[in-house]
Amino acid sequence: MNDTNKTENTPLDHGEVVQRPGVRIAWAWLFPILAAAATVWLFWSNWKANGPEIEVSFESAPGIQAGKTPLIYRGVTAGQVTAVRLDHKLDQVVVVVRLKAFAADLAKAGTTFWIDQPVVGLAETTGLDALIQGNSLQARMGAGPRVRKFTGVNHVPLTPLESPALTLKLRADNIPFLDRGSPIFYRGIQVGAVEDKALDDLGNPYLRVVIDHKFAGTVKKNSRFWPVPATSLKVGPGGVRIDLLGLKAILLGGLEFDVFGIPGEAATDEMEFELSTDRTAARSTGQPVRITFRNGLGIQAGQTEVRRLGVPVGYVESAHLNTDTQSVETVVRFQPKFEHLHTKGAVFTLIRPQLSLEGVSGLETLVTGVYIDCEPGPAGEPITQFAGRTQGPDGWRTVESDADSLPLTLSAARLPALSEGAPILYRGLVAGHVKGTSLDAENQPVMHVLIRKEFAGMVRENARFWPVPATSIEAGPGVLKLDMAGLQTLMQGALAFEVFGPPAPIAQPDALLPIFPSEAAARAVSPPIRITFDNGQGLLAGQTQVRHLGVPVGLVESVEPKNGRVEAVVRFNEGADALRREGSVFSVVRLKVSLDGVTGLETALSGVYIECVPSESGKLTDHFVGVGIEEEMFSEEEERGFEVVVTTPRTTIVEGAPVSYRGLVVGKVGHKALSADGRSLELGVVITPPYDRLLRENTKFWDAGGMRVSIGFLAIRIQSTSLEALARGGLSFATPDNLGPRVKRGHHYELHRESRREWLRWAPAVPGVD
Amino acid sequence: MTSDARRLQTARALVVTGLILYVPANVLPVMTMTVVGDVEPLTVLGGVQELYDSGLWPIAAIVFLASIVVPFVKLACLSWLLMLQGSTVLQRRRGALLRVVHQVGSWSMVDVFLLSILVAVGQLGAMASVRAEPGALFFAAVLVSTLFASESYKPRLIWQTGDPSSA
Repeated sequence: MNDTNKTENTPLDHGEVVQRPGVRIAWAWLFPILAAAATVWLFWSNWKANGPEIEVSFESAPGIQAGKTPLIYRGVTAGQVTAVRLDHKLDQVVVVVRLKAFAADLAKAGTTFWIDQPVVGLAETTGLDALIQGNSLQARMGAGPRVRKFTGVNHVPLTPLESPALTLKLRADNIPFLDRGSPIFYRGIQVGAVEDKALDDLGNPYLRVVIDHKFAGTVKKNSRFWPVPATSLKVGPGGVRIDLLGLKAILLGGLEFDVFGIPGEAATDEMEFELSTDRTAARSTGQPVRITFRNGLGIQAGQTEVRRLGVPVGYVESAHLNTDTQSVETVVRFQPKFEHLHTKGAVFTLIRPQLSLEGVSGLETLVTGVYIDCEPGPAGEPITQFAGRTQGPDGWRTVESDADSLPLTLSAARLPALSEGAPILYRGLVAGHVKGTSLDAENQPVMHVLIRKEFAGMVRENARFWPVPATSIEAGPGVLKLDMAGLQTLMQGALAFEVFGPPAPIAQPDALLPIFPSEAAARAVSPPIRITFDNGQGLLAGQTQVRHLGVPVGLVESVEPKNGRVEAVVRFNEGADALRREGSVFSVVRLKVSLDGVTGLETALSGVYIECVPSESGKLTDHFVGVGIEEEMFSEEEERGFEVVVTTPRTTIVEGAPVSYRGLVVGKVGHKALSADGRSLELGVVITPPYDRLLRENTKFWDAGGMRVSIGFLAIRIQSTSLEALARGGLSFATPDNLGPRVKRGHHYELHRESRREWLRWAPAVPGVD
Repeated sequence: MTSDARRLQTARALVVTGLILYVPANVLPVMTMTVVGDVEPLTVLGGVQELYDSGLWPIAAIVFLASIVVPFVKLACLSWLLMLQGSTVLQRRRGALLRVVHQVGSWSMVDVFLLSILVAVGQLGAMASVRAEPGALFFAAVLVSTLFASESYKPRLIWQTGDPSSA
């Protein structure tokens, strides 16, 4: 091309504009194209991300702001509030929400909208993020057809993520502590919550509960619901157990449900259930069984359980007085799997706390309340009407053997206060029990007792019964025995029996046997013997014992005054007949406290007793004259000692005061009496042999009682013959060195006020008795 | 094609680009301010409104001028100049206007600078944060395209008559 140009315009080459064909478009036009594309894409994607617009109406919409408040679904922003306005009546807030495209399915009927606001409470704290981010609109998707208008709910649903699988209605007589949010447990796992409690049209309360999807299958058509207390205290032999269900349950209570028996079909939505009062009640779905008790003490409807071998099998649904007001009828429901227990012949026993010699039974009922024990009858068709029993004294086990027992009638002038069911002991074994008391034809009280079959052979016609005191104290020299027959006798008392003497033939049923007031009385089987005493003080009929060498050998049966004296009728125990030979000495032993010593101390506890000193020979007799113990002693001394009489116009010396010679007690004052003329006192002084040889005609007696205080230059000397003499006074005597002739018994001496000095120096040599 | 024609083409294309981008730049939020959980997306106009509501009307005025008026005026002026290209009307005035547009152009990025500073500084964790949004990108693009457009359109082109591309 240049060559041709050179040839045509040689000197200058200006170049030439080459006009290419067509219009060249500058590359810069790519910018607007790109910009337009970007803008269009942006707006298009924005538009595409927007779903439908919906309207949600609320009663109030706190914190909802147009253009700012997001709609949150499962924590993700699913839309935004574009407008907030009031409806035309100004009673609803209409919130317009532009959904995002992916959340368009939220615009379905059944979707729940609520405003998430912070809730800080004891039971739960929710919506804390709303504190920072402001309130938000929340949604839970429904499943209906597409709609545009919704009504929001006022509170956060219990299952915010998805609608509950089941909404159930629980009816109850009263719903004490449950409230919205109370958890529902199935075997310890929370599967739902109480949504609402309300009253139906008839005014009956009901609970609406929701069950989570995951656990929908746990609710069966025959599920039973019951409230669980937040705290339960169980006291049993194992100790005290406190169950806390969890903080939430403490604050809100809780519900529990389970299926007892064969699980039925799965429950459907909106089903109705009964709310049982507690677990036991819930378990017991069997048909009502009516049990009649004579006394329904302790039965509590809805609480008292029916147990078989200690395991709850049912519960008392209601208890009410029968129309005849003589008995209590309880309606009991069994658990389905225990329905076979209430067959014909089943025995229902009301168990209360029992203390018996065989042990303590029903103690747990002290805490748990009474329960009804069920002893099933032979297999058969269940029946629904029973007569229940109250637990017997020996436990309900013995009651069955009533039929085989030996019935006896016991009589006594005064029946011991024994309650029905009190045990009858034979050598410490429970041999039967008291059935009841009544008056016989002669209006005498009789007691009906039952002796167990295995003890029937022990009851002879001469068997003797006596009441066992709850506590007995036996006191004797060196023995103090506290005997408690047992816990049951403490509460009920008991009877004991025993055969003393040769056994008679076995008693026939309904034989009449006596009750003795005490064991000692029962033991005293000998014919009565009579002993007369001057002084009957302390002798008690039925109590005062007769002892030989300290061993009880008999009992005073009665004490009666007779001819100015006291006559005690005494019966000896078997084998003690030898004591009632003629010449035996009976004396009343009482407590005697003196400075000499204390005698008869055991009588302080056991009461006086009659000591028996049998004679070694002589024929049996049934009448004795008893002696007081002092008389007995003095008579002995008088027999053995040498008695003289000391006269004095006045003295404080009392009977028993010691008589000493050179400080040695050689006798005592036997008695103190006024002389025959009444002008002086006569002290009978008994000198123990061989000291009687010290007594001569010139012997001087003086009063050595009291204290002698001599004050000298250097000392004060307090002298007394003895402590006893200080209290009781005392006599001393001295005989001069030139011994006078010996005196006879009953010689009279004069009592000097005090000794003379020379008397004290007398030291005669007295010839001994060869 | 002469370089004048190419310049003219470039200027026209960039003005069109600017006009296109001006729409999203003003419609979309340029930044999101999160203050104590309160998320607030702000468009340019919204930001001005916010500033004015807060009583900072001088700043609101400056931002309004710099962010809305200036780009718009610039685009309008350039469009007008480009439309009158080749005609002989008001050639002196057009030259003066172009100089003004050049002068003002150096202020037009004020908004973007402000935003970049805010985004860099306003990071106070959960308490407050500022985030740039796509609108800012469009906004910057509008400014950049107007800058280059006004740079491409030389004053002498005003005095050229007839279409240089077709000349």
